[in-house]
Amino acid sequence: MLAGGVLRRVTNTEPASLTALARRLSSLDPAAVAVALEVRRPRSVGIKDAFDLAQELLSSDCIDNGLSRFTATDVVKLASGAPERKIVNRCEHLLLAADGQIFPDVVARARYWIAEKGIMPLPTEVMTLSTKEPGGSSTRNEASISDGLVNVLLLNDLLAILEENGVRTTRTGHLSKASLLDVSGRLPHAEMLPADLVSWGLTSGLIDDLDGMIRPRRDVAVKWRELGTSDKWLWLAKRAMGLLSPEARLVLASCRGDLGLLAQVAHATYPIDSSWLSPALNTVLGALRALGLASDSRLSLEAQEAIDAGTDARLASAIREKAPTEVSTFLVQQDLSIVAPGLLTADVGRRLDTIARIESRGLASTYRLTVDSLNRALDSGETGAGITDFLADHSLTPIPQNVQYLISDTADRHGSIMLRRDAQGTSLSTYTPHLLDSLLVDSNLRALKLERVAHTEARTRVDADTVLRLAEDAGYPRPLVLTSPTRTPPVTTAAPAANPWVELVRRIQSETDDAPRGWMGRQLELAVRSKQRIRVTVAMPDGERDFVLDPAALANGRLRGRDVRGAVERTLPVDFIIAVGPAE
Amino acid sequence: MPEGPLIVQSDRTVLLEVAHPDATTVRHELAVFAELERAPEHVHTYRITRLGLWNARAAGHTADEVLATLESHSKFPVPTGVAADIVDTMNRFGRLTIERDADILILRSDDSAVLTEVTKSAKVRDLLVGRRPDGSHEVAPWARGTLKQELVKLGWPAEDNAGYRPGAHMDISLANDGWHLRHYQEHAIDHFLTGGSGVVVLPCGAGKTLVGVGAMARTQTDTLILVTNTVSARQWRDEILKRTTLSPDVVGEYSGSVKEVRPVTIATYQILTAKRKGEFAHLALLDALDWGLVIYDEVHLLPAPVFKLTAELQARRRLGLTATLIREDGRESDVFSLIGPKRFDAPWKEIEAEGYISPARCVEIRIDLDEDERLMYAASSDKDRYRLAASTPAKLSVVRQLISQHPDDRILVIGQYLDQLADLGEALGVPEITGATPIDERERLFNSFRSGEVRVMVVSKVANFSVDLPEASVAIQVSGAFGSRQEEAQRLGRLLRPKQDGRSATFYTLVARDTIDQDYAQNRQRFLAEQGYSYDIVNAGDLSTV
Repeated sequence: MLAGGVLRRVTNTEPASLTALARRLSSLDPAAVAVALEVRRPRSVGIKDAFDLAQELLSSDCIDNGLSRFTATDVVKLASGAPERKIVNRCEHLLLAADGQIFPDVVARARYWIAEKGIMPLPTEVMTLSTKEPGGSSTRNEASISDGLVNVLLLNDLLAILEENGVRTTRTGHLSKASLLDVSGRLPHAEMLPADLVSWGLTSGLIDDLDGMIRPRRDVAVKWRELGTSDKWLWLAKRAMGLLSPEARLVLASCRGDLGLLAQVAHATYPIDSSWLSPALNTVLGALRALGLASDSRLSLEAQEAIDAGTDARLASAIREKAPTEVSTFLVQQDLSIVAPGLLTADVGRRLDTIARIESRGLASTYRLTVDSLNRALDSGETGAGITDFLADHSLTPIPQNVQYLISDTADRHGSIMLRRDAQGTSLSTYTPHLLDSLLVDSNLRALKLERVAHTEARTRVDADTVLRLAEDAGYPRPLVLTSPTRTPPVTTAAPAANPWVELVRRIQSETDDAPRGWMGRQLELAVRSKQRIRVTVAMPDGERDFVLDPAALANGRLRGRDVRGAVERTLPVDFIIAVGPAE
Repeated sequence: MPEGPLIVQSDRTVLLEVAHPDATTVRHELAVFAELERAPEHVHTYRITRLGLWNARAAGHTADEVLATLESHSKFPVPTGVAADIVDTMNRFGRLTIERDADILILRSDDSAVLTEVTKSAKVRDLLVGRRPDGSHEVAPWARGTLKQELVKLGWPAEDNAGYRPGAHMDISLANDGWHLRHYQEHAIDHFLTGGSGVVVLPCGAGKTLVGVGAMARTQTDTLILVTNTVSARQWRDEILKRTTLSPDVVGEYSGSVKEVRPVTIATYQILTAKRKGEFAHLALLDALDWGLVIYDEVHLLPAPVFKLTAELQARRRLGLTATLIREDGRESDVFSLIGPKRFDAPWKEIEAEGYISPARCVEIRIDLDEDERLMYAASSDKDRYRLAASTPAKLSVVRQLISQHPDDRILVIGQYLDQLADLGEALGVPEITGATPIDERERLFNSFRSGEVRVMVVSKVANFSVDLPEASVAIQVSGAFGSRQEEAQRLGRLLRPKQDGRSATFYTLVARDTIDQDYAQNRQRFLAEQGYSYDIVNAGDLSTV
């Protein structure tokens, strides 16, 4: 909320400003206008054309929204009426100026705020409120890149889960409770909450929320998952830094790492209003905390240096210095656990993720081989021999006998029951007739109402997913589903979200293009309302004639006004007017 | 960062690389505050728990010491969340204290906010009898243990400084006639005595009884020993008489058949919890003498009513003994509150490596049900399936073959179902011991087995615990109490006493393939697998290769 007040006040706007701004709105690239509107936040209700929007933008609240982006020093300069070119340019970008002139209303609001808040130029742009040294102390409870690497691994786990099945969001864009429970249950224990991991994935652009489903983005996530852990971390760190606007960067740099000063510094830097910084800062700080580059109270030295320098070079050197060397070996143990005593290389990690269930995720990872995990691997195309060879190639010690037995036994039995979906339900076939005999009499499978149709084949009206679940629950080998279910691919490609501001600008521009008469009418209306003397050009049977009028009324398709030159009252059909402009 | 043997994970597990040169030293430091969760062959997993941290705090260790141990031996930085949690958790211990003012127990805290927080709990308020002007609370005389239980549940464990009753003095020393306590037994006793009360965890066959005897010798006080059954009571009695200077007239048995109250009294859990007209009939035993030490054998089996009694025995020094501190009812925190923290724990494989328990090989044999059995199994209800699978007649031929493959071993065939055991006993022509076998007959048969007169015996769960059969070197488990991990460990434990001829033990588990029997077997094996025991899996058809 703006500090200036709750009510949206409309200034007695100068017609020249209004017309100039309306012209600008009609001609600028909609995307560029949308950027400014995002900042200025005009009310979009009731806006029919460029004049309506211009009028809205020249309301004091909208001007204040624009001015809130200027530092105290710039506000003072702007209020002087003759600011440097850089400030004028900025005003133009924010639609606070046109044709190199800052709108008088804008200057007036700047002066109002200076008087109201006693705004003074900052001694330097980068303040030194904090007397503490930048972060990075090795004391406990400070940020740690090691923690960040673990979070990166967890985000990778989250993507793997989402690749398998997207999760639903509520109408408000949050994860539903059921989805959260599902994701939590499938992720290894983590310091970071699943909801925070999802937010991180969304803000970093690795996942998308489309049509109420959260899924990985095909174009980004697949490539990211192929990176090593350190490179994944660096990618995310660069993304986080890339989210920092120049204004947010200025504030963070001014805090000198002490995040306790953030609100104070933000307010001192952007005195008209600094609340607009919060969402972006929270997003970036959330990502930096996840990466181990910030604690609750401080930025790490590396993050501070990267912000100061405005480059990612320091981040790259930090991860090179602090990340442990990746390993491609692990230990396979008799209790069916697999321990990777360090960060795994991406390819080995991905394969292990497929074969075994993750139990503990940290700089080391522990996995457990289970019948279920092996069946899933076999479903995805692994073979028993392939799994054993992979484990033998990467294990530091021989593979225990019981592990080998488990793998070969599971592989031998995999596919001994096969399911095929069809329009009528599911066809079930078995390797042996005896196995089908058991399935047919099994008390736990009665609900399927299996009907034998051949020696080793039965049918049911129940869908294959249910058959698979019931058969597994009853202790049978996991059935192999021969036809994949038809479902939406879980990985999405990036689809630019519709920007409502762009839509608005496009609409009013098309209004202007399609109805030049309407544009003219709005100019005349404005002139009447503001009692502004105008020059109009009228197409007469004998040619075009110019009149300078003090307009009095506009009604029934006619403009009535006093002809300044002839000192007579004139009534002109609007349809005959071909041009309107301010009187010289 | 040192290349240490530890990796601390953010889920509070700590991985210890066993082959690292510092592993042994680090393990001892780690055991102070972390629970050994798994000890397979290469990497042991410890878990940092609240109870573990409070145990450490109770023993006088600080959060800084714990963190220093982790940081100095870790391969990677300790996760910041874990470090913060350790500090926070350890700082909670001792903010409340239980003290004694003459005969009155007092709950006190320097932090009035904590005291206010815990006394908001109705369960805690019910145990307090009055507030003193200094803000402390008087505790009901009987509520010392219950109060500690409730405070643990609230996350504010109290430091119990109310002290112990010394008990009546008893002259007792160890009979040092050619034997001495092993180093780990000495350590266990030292840790117990330093801590005051608590639990000692040692593998079956590693000499837990001697830890109890050693504790008696050090405390020199009248002792009440609670055991699981009468056979065990008699074994304790024999061991006490053999290992100490005590004479038979000071060691009494208090069981269903004998009611002797002597300076050393060995009572069964069963007699202590026996009720007459709704009342515990033998509670008087607890106050019959001025016990200075109460020993709970197989503390993982402590029946719920004994917890209640224990709550009222808080003024006595308490020692719990077990091989597996796994309670199938999940009441481990009650053991912490009422008996005391775990004072000593040693990985099974470490004791085995030192030669104090016999090495053992575990083999799971998968047996196929025949087609008729398979159909019958499929058509059965869930509740009947385990029994059907576990007692398949197909197991008999495998048992026969295994017995024939071990002509020189003494073999226990262990099972759950009495009709299955009866069938096996009859088919094999060997004696059978179940709960129905009279105590004297049991002892006679056990003695025959020890002497070699009987080579193979079929036994029910009565032989799961506290039966000393050092000569048994092969066990064949045909069925069990569903997925009980501690039962599996206890059954293996029957084989772990070192053999005279140095032979190793073999533990077979017979499992019906693709049935619930196989699922239960996997769960049963978890504890031993986590202790480093490997289970080879063999198809019944390949038995000759075993």
